[in-house]
Amino acid sequence: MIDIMDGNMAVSHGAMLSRVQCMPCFPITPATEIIETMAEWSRSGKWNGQYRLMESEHAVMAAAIASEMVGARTFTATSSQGLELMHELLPIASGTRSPLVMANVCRGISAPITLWGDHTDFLSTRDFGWLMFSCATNQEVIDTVPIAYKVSEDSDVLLPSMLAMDGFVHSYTRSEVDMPAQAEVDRFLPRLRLKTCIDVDNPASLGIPAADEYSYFRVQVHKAQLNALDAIERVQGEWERRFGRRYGLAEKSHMDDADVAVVAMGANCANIRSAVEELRKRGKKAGLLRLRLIRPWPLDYIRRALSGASKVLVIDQDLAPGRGGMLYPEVRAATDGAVVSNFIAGLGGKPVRQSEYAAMISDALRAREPFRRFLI
Amino acid sequence: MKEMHGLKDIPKESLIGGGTSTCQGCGAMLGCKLLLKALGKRTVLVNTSGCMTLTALYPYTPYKVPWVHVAIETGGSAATGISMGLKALKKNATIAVYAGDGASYDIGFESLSGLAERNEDVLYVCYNNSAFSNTGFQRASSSPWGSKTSTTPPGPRTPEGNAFSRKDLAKIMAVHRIPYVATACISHPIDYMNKVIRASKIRGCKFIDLLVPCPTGWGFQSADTVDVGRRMVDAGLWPLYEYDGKAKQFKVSVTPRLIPVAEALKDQARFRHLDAKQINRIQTMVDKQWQLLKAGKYFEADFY
Amino acid sequence: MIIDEKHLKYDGAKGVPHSRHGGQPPKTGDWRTFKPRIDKSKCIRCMTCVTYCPEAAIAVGSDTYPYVNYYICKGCLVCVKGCPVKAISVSQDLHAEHLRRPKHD
Repeated sequence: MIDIMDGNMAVSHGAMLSRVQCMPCFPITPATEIIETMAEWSRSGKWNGQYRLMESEHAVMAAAIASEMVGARTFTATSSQGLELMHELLPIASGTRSPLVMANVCRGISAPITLWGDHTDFLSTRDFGWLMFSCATNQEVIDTVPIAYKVSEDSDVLLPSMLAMDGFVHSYTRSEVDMPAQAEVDRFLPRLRLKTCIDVDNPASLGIPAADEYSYFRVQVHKAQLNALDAIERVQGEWERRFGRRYGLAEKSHMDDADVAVVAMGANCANIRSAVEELRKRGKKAGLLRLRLIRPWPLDYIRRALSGASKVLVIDQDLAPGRGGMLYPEVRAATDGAVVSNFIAGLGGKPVRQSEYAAMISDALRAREPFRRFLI
Repeated sequence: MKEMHGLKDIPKESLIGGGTSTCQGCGAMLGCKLLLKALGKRTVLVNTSGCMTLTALYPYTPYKVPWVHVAIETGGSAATGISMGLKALKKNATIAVYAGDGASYDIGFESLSGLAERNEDVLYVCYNNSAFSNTGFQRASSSPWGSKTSTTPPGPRTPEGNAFSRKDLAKIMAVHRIPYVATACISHPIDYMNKVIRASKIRGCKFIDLLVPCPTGWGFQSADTVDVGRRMVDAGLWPLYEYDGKAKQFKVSVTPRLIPVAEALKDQARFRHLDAKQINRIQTMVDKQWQLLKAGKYFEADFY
Repeated sequence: MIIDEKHLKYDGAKGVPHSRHGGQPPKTGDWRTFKPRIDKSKCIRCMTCVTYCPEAAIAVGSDTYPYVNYYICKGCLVCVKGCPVKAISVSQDLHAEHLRRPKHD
């Protein structure tokens, strides 16, 4: 069913379609409308799950982990400072193997405080064991919520998932969305049944300390991440069969014969793709690899995708001060002999012109040495 | 569970086993054992980081009931999550938090306040050894005036050691308008367990501040755990009471003999540095506190 | 143990950090330097020791008398102090002998 909705509404519909049972919430721009929508639906009876207004994002994540440990499908959404406040608990969610799903509406992190989108908040959690999906359209958002649940709850995975969309550009911009049918999503995503959970009839101690075996448990999280690569391909294949929409580990545009490959993620990829097509018209062979899966890092796929390009430009809408873009080192490690440059642009939602993208891609094509440039 | 009249009424089976890393004579262990005996098998026990956390060290756990640990400041928030999850799955169980005073008075205060203001159906028992004990006995906002801790050592600038009066968490919880607030001590097990039983029959948020003497931190022989607790109650240093939130009624549960405060403090190394003047200051505090409590003036009394 | 990433095994539910009660607990009885002994002839079965033992190491036997589980008893002696009829005596724990170095001839 085709509808028009903004990204926050798409997230809410995705959660409803996934029949989430619990949602602890806390407001933060630009994710607030997600919890407002769920509040409305909860009051009207459209959604019958457990809704709680918690005292902070930290409390939200603690409640989400605990309700997931009981075996109830749990969902929440946050952004930027809220996600930063949750940092202590994010590795606890993955370490306890709690398969919850969280939407992160990407927003630049303080300081200075900003409201507008960049990916620093999302990418700063990449060491915590969560599966990480980056979405580029509202359609991708509504589809990725049930996909993430199915992957997370897979018995070979049992890890939490985070899906990212851009603040303001996705969250508040309406676009066409083909809403999946509930009955079909029900067939795709069965009820959650956790083997190891809080159950008075089968008591267990969860979240326990470990001494010597700590390494073993952390490495199991890593192994589960590696398993997730297969699970994601399987699940996304099933989604394509049922709903006709195909998602890969990343999205290629004009990559087959590209001399310069641009690697980027998020909403700005639409603009970057236009820049790539503009360069193609001018006879320059550019291509775009839009990253969708950040964790587990699909190294082999990215290596194959970039193997034909002698020049690569990593466009980071994020910054790790002291190193550069966060995606840069990971992409560079997937190349072999290419000249890999870095363009950091769009921090705090700063608009980047198509001409600026085109100029950087052109420069990257010509570059003999890697460069790092910033849009200020 | 019916209320108890004597030690012989206490259920024989313990829902917590031994073989854990708690100190010899640990008051908190005793508090947990009695709590679970009063609540029974259909209890989910929420733990926060502290003395009781390492009791369940992989691959062993002493708990015969489900036990959960999320993080130090998540007593209230994790309990809320469990409540949500059980309601979503239409399952029934008593949810109890057994959290230390450091985790309740300080770092977990926000989540405890949230639990109370939402009036979640949870029993929150704070096992209070009056400091951050598990890390080696550092001052917390629950530490009483004059207590020596590793972060409030007595010296020329602060001869009393801890110069702060403690936060009155039980009263703060009463002002949250939850239906039940009480204080207890492991030296008075029947009083404590009956309070737990009474609380478990009430729907809504219930809070019990349980004094648990700590041989390692307070500085006394492990065999004296119960006696030290008893003397703290007898000297009036730890009033045992109940506050009925609905009826807004305060009731003293055990009227203390009011032995001199010096007698209760002298056997604890954490107070050994106090001179007569400082002990007298505590005695004056306690005398004033009991004058008001005997007149039923709960909210006006400043607790030691 | 050092394992190559290619050979990492996934352990499913076993790899989820949790414990279930059962099996032999850690032997905290090794902590003792003093051992409490209940004299049945003096014991009045008041249940004080059973109530106050922090470790739940004193259980009620089928003959309704209290028995100490020496595998876990840490020797804190709370029971000794609490017994109203002084039915629990203290002896130095011979276990400490095991910790002494063997004599060399």
